[in-house]
Amino acid sequence: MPPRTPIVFVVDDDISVRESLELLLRTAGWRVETFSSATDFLAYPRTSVPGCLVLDVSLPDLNGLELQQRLEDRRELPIVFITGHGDIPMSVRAMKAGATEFLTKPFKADALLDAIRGAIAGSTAALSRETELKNLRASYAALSRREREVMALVVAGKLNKQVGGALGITEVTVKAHRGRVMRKMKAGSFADLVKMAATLRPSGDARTTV
Amino acid sequence: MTAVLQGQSPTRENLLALLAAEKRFLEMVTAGKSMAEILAALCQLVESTGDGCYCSVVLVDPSGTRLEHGAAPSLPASFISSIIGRPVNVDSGPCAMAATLKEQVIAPDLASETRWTEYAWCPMALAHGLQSCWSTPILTSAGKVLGAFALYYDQPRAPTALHQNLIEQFTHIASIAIERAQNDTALRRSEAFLAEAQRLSSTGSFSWNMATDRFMWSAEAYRIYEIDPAVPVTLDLIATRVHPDNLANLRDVMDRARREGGDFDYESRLLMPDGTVKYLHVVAHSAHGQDGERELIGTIQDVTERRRSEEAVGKLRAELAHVARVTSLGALTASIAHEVNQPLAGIIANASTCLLMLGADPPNIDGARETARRTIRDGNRAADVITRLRALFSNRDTTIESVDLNEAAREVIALLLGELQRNQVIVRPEFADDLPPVAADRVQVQQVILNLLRNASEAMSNVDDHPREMVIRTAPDEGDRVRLTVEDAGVGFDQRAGDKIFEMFYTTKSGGMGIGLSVSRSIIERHHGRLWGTPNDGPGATFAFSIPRTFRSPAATFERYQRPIESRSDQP
Repeated sequence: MPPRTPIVFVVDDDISVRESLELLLRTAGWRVETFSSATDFLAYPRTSVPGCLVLDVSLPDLNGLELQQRLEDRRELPIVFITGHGDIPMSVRAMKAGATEFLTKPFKADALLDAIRGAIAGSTAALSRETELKNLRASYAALSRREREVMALVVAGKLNKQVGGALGITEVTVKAHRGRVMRKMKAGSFADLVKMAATLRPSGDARTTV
Repeated sequence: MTAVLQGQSPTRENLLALLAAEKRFLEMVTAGKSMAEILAALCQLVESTGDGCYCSVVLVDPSGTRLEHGAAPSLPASFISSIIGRPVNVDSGPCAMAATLKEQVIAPDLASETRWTEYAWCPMALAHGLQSCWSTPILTSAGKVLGAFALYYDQPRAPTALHQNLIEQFTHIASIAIERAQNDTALRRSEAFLAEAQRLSSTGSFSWNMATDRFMWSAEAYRIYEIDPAVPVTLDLIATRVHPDNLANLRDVMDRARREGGDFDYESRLLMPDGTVKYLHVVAHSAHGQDGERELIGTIQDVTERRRSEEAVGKLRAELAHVARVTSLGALTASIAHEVNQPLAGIIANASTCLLMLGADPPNIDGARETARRTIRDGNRAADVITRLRALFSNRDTTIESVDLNEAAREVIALLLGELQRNQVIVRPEFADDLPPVAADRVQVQQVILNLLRNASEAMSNVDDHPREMVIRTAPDEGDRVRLTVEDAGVGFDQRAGDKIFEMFYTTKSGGMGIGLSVSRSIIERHHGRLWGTPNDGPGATFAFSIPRTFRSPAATFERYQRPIESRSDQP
């Protein structure tokens, strides 16, 4: 995959703020897209590039906090709030809902750049976790039914003999299944496999117990 | 005189004596002797004829209903006092009857008299030893009853022709004396009234004979000018008191009075020797005097106190308006911070970018230059916001200038944008394209607009079932006026509250002080305009004001002297 430049979305109804931030962030090396309203931003197609959202709280139709609610499921798009008149309840609400930072205008450029860097790192991490999970799920999907059963019991700490007893197969067969599981899941060690199972479990419980 | 009534026919001597007596009385009248003195002398003269008569004069009081004491030098006080105060009618007694009927009443023998029984007048007279009474009304030349002249005897008696002749003569003299005295009293009373009225109302009167340049001043005029009433008034003397700034106006008025006459109504000022200033309201009218010469007659009213209290009220109003502005300033803090912080955020970001560009290798000079330009633009924008705020919230005197209501309203909307956005209010301006400017105090008018917009916004803060929409309209209004209307879709107000909503400290808002609308109305009224509110047919209310395009300051009335109320030259 080619290295993708992170993208910073700026939503602010004030032209001075939009224009100055666009230039600052571009000069800092990011791609920048600006919008004067939340609605305009929502109309923009989703990307899988790492990035973040610099969001003004008071906006004409849909305000910043309301937009944050709509973006609840988008972990890969951290939000840095900027506001012309922040109050404590407003910032608490924003931070509780997962905002990276809450800056009051006029803010220091470094404070914003640091916040954006942090947000983009978070975005990159979220995206790579997503990719990792996707790959893990693909590998898990390639396991046979018997292999999944063996894996579930092994990572639960059962000995090969106990697994064989539980599934009504010989210990040798258990060993063979276990080797294939390790290979298909690309697990370097048994500990690795236990971690993978833990990662899969929250979203894949239904599938592992089938 | 002693022989007058003793002879049966008048002799030459009698007639001469009579003439001399009449002459003496007329001299007393013209010499200004008091009425009581003259009437008493008259009675004494008649009594001195020696035929045993007693005389009295009773007067009819100003209301014409009761008898008053005139003169009765020889009759007992108990007799007179029982007559005085009796009603003027035919039953009270002979004098009251004569005055009522305007006819002579002769009672030759009181012992057999049957009239006036209701008041038991005859027994009372008989008790005082009087046996007969002849009463004759005293009439003015116009026929008005002044009183009655009576002769009493201590024996039954009827008048002879000579008696009648004398009675006629004396009632005539009495009538002149009484009428003159009453006129004098009326004149003195009227003069006293006038002087008192002038003193109470601080109004002096004057006349100016244009041909001779002679001035006449009333006592109050002297007092207002603080000049000794013994000093004759001259134009030079007046000029020493008129405020130097008003001298030219005084000359204008005098020139115009000489040239075309007419009526004058103007204000002027005096500068007293001790440096105090007096404000005068002068109303004058040019006329032809008794000798046919042109005269300017008028009044001078000292309106200094009124003017001072007007100034004090004006100052209080201005202070209250300032309090109201500062109160709204507090409420607007968040909005203002927003307005200023936007460009500041831009400035800091631009300056940071500029540094990044200059620090790059190689430095991005063009980019840095452009960024610096943007920094300046945003800086100016912040400065504009501050200038607008300072203009709106400073405490300054009324300044009348040409104001574009569209522009004024736009600035207020810009200032309130943050707050309106936070309240999710949609502002729809519907401004008339070619709106004529108004002569007004920009800050005060903007304060009114600010008040109306904030009220409208707050009225919609709990509205969720329809859009929070506010329409601001400007339009030319009838009568050379311009109107601004603010229509909201909020809670509206109860029509029954009526004009109460414009009263000081009346509020329907939990956090309101109740001064916004009242201050707004007083501002608009000072612009000679009108501010009103009506509930909408649908949700919400509409508030509007209408102000004339030209401003007439209440203090600038001096110019009025040019405007004759009624000028002879205007007449066909």
